Amino acid sequence: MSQLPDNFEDLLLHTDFIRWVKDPASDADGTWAAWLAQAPEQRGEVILKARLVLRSLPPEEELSHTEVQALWQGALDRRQEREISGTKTWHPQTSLTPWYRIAAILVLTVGLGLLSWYFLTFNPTELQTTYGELRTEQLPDGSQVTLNSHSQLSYQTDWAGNREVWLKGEAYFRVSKKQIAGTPATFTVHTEGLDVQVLGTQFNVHNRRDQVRVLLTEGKVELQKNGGDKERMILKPGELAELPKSGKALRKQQVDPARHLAWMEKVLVFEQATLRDIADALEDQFGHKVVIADPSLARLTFTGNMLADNEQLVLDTIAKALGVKITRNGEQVIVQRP
Amino acid sequence: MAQGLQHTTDEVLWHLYRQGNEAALAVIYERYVKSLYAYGRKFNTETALVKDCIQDLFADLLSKPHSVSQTPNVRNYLMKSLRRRILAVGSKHTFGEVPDDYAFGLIPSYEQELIQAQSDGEEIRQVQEAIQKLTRRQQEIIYLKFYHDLDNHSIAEVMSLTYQAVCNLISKAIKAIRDLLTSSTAMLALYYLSGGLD
Repeated sequence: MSQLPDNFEDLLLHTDFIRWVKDPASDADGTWAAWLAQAPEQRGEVILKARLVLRSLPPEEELSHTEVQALWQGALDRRQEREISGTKTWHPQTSLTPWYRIAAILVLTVGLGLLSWYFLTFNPTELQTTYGELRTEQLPDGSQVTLNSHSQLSYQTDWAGNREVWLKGEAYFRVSKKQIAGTPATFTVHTEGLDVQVLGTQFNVHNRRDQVRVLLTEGKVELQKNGGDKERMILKPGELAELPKSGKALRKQQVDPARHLAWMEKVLVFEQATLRDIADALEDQFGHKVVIADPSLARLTFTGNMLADNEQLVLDTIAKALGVKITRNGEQVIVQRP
Repeated sequence: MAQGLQHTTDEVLWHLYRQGNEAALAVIYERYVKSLYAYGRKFNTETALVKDCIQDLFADLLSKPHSVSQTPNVRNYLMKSLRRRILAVGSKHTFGEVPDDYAFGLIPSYEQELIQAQSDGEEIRQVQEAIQKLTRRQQEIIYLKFYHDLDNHSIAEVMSLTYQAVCNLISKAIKAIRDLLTSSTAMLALYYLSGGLD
């Protein structure tokens, strides 16, 4: 405790002292309170005086929540105005006939209106994870989503009606049931290849490299392809639907759900996985490009589970099991013959 | 706005913003707009002017994410930019040049009347008087230190001063407060003493 200052100047320059005076709760272990209580009279006076100086400071002026929102909207609008006037100054010679001017003004006005309407209504919220990150978040309707490594979920802020989200990467959804005016509200997950529509259920969506896989664990979901024949499919629990590349036919099979949900425990599961599949999984998990130097290696297969939190260990294990040489070169991982 | 980014560090948010992610800038905005506004209001400015400068600052950031540089401290960068904007509006000097006699008041004038009505007002009034006797630059340094937890390096960055100048100014300011308080307490003691003799 002897390291704490006891003169006026040092106290007022001490960040923790300032913090304690402003917010006594910040002194969780009572260091400063004890320092004051045990101080001999003279030092105690100095501490009290230093505290008084800080307590005499007038409170800050605060912005209300509405003002905070309004200011941000103002900044967005101003940027928009600037971009428009900016385009004008780039072409100072262009002279428009009056009719064109009126038309241009109309287009601009409608454009601005649409833009601000877009920002007000469809300002999308984004949830993102970086490589190796796993995150569970609650959505505005109380549904829960767990995002796997390097994934992105976006949705519009207005959730008055049916619920819609857009997914890139992989996520597990626990959708809560919701009713609007007596009828159940749907929850739709959009991916590039297909839409997953549900009322209230639990399922996994994997959407990477133009490939979509949907696994249902509870309830019932309906899938619909975005392009081509708009094929529909209903899934039952334990079924996995796969859309290999946008355009091809949907197919489904009964699978062991645990295998496809192991990522939520940060476990990589490989079952007769080719080196090509493994490379994709490692890229998704760790963010390093995996280069298979010799194409004939790509067909080697591997079966096993590994914890996904140590990249080097994962690489070493695979190298040993497959008898290949794996080296790190900056942002790249290179797989070669030994 | 962007709930998923709310626990992300300033550094990462700034990086994302510079790559064109507006949601990241929105989080930075929400994190600092209140401090920025409070700071701006200390330059004897109108509410509308501070808001205008904040809006301008963020409109600029929104329109040129790719030309903004990487910064080691986002908060310092924002405070410094806002300060320059406010001072540029108040003077005819070109952007970047700051007059020496700019206005900065830590204690607003109405505050005194408010405090005099309180019971322990006397002591508080003394402290506030002592602070008002400091130079504006000293008041600003003390404000950044006491209100915003800025260390001396950050204060130097925000106010465009050298680190050594900040150390000297802050130490002088605190000594001045101490001296003014001691002398007024002594006077007060004398006053009570003479009153008791009567």
